Amino acid sequence: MASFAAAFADVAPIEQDDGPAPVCAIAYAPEYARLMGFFRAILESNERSPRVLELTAALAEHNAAHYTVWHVRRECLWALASNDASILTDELRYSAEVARENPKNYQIWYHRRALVEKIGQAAAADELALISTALRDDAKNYHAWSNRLWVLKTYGGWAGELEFCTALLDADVYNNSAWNHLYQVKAQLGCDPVEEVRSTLERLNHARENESAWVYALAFAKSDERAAAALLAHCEGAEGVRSQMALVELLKTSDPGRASTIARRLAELDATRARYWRRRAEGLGNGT
Amino acid sequence: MDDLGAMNYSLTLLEQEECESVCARFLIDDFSTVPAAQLAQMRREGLLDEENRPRLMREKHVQYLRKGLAGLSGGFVALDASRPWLVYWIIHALDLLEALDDDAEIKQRCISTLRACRAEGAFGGGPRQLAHLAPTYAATLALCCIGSNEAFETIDRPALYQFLLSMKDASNGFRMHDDGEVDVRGTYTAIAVAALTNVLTPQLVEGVAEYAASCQTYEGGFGGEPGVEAHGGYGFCAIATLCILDACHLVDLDALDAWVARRQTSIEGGYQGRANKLVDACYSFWQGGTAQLSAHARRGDPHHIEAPQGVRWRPGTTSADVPAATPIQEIVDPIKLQRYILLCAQVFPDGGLRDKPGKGRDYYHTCYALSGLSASQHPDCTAPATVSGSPANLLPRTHPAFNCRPEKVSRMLDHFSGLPDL
Ligand SMILES: [Zn+2]
Repeated sequence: MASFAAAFADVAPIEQDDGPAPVCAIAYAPEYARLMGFFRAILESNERSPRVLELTAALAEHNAAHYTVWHVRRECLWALASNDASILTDELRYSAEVARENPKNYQIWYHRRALVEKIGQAAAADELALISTALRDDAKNYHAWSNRLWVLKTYGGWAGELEFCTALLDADVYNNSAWNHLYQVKAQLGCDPVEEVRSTLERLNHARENESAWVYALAFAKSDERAAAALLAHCEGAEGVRSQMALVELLKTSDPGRASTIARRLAELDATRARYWRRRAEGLGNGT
Repeated sequence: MDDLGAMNYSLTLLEQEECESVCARFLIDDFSTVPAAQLAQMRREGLLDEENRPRLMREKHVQYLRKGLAGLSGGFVALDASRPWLVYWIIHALDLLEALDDDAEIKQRCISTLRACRAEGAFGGGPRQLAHLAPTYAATLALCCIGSNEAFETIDRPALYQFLLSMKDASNGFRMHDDGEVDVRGTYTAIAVAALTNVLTPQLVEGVAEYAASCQTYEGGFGGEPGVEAHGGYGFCAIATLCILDACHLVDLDALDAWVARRQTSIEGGYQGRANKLVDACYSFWQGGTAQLSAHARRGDPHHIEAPQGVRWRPGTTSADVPAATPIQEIVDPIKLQRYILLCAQVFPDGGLRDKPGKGRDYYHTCYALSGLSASQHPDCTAPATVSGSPANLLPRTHPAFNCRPEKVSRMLDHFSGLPDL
């Protein structure tokens, strides 16, 4: 803190003005309040310099969700990088650390995206690696998955994704984020819908009531008749509630009467959704 | 167990089983089986009424909410860029508990705090912060809860409109702030604010419904961006945007209903945000509101200016006439959900609501658990309410597209519809 006071000795801090008798006022730690005083002054002066870059890092440590701080940080980076490209490489390292400490923070993941965008293709592979690390800590981190899809759509690199999804599903076959990603990868690379149903049924062997896998298989059955036939063949006589739910979808056009009967039975088997299943049964007409 | 051993190990299953067993301890069916001393405490502290029915601990929640308005400890610094959110979470919750309207002093102070957060015609997360759509939405909704002309006049409508336009991205989604992320959250917050302030111009809305629709995935729900996993919070943003824009025909409502019905957990009764994730009380509103909006879309309500009070959002009609519509057919179990909120989400004995047992209370979860409770009590605003536990648990309705009391929404719409077009 003392170093900031010295570094900003020429800057008159601006106090926060919450207006009279504010609500939800936060009793800031003195250090945060002091740093914010300099930051508000910088917002007025528009200074973009190495010391401002340091100030933003100190503030982000107090409050990583401070999007204005991150915005000013990016402006500093872009301004300074025109003279010294290593600034951006350093920033990759620094922000990776912040992302590790704040894995669920919107701002840091957007910051990564903006940074990769600035550097371009050369940063894509490392970004996928960083995201893989984040997903090792939390395999369902929504921001990490969103950024992964963005990197792939923007810079390519899809080829390695099948293996990546397989490993995650081997580790936890109930990971719905990994199933969603697998679906995106297949849509990009192309696949045989029948084969998708077959391999999904194999995974279902050990996780019969896994919604993620059923919904994935049904998506292929919806768009391909042979895949639908393969899934239907499995469901006929299969045990479990999810296979009955799948039957309602698979039979709704070809045999609405039977689909309706199954929906009616599901109103009892899946009592939380009794209302839903009764509505489905009604919509399908009279079952037997 | 079977002999597959490690092959069957799943962190998802382990966490789910743990969560179910913890919740089951709170979801007591028959309170007469609880030891007498404990039962007496539950009644004394207000968790049960005189007939041992689960009770909404109104007094305690109001106390907790007012404490937040009075001031927050340094630990809240992580929300220093979300001040308008804090104001909205707290005063909307107070409004649902019918503890806002008589408090002129608080309303005045809220207006002046929000005024201090104004930036570029919109609102920032705090004084002198960059304009951002999320706090702009929160501030607009907070002003809607307050509902006075003075509150409405805090908004500089032409400047706000320029800000909204400047956030529109080439994808037709909206950017959260200058140099910020584009997603369906930004899109909903922009469209909701524009609807409430009557600036939904053709230029602003062109292509926006298509952007929201493109976020529907093979699961039936919506992700934050096209192709990303279906998620309750983003799903609400997408369907609310589509309802406001009368464009639900662009999406597969059958698939959405199937998805949202599957999000109600069987043992706990609350909603999860995504498939194979844990229950969380805030989704009581995000998912519950989605189910409600979808039901209204099926009935055609968003298209009708004479839609019932509670979902109508277009300005200019104040008649109490309700069209002879087919009743809403619910797809979820409102009693189970309400029991989760009352028994698992209420923090006993201190008050405030939480994500799930084992977590602490916070203003966000208090707001959305109460909003979800209200939504689930009033699935159909033309039919009698469904109330679990004590009859005194009944809350007023909340508008499913904006999450503010419908009469307040009407008041704001009437105010801004009286202003000239831009
Ligand atoms: Zn939550």
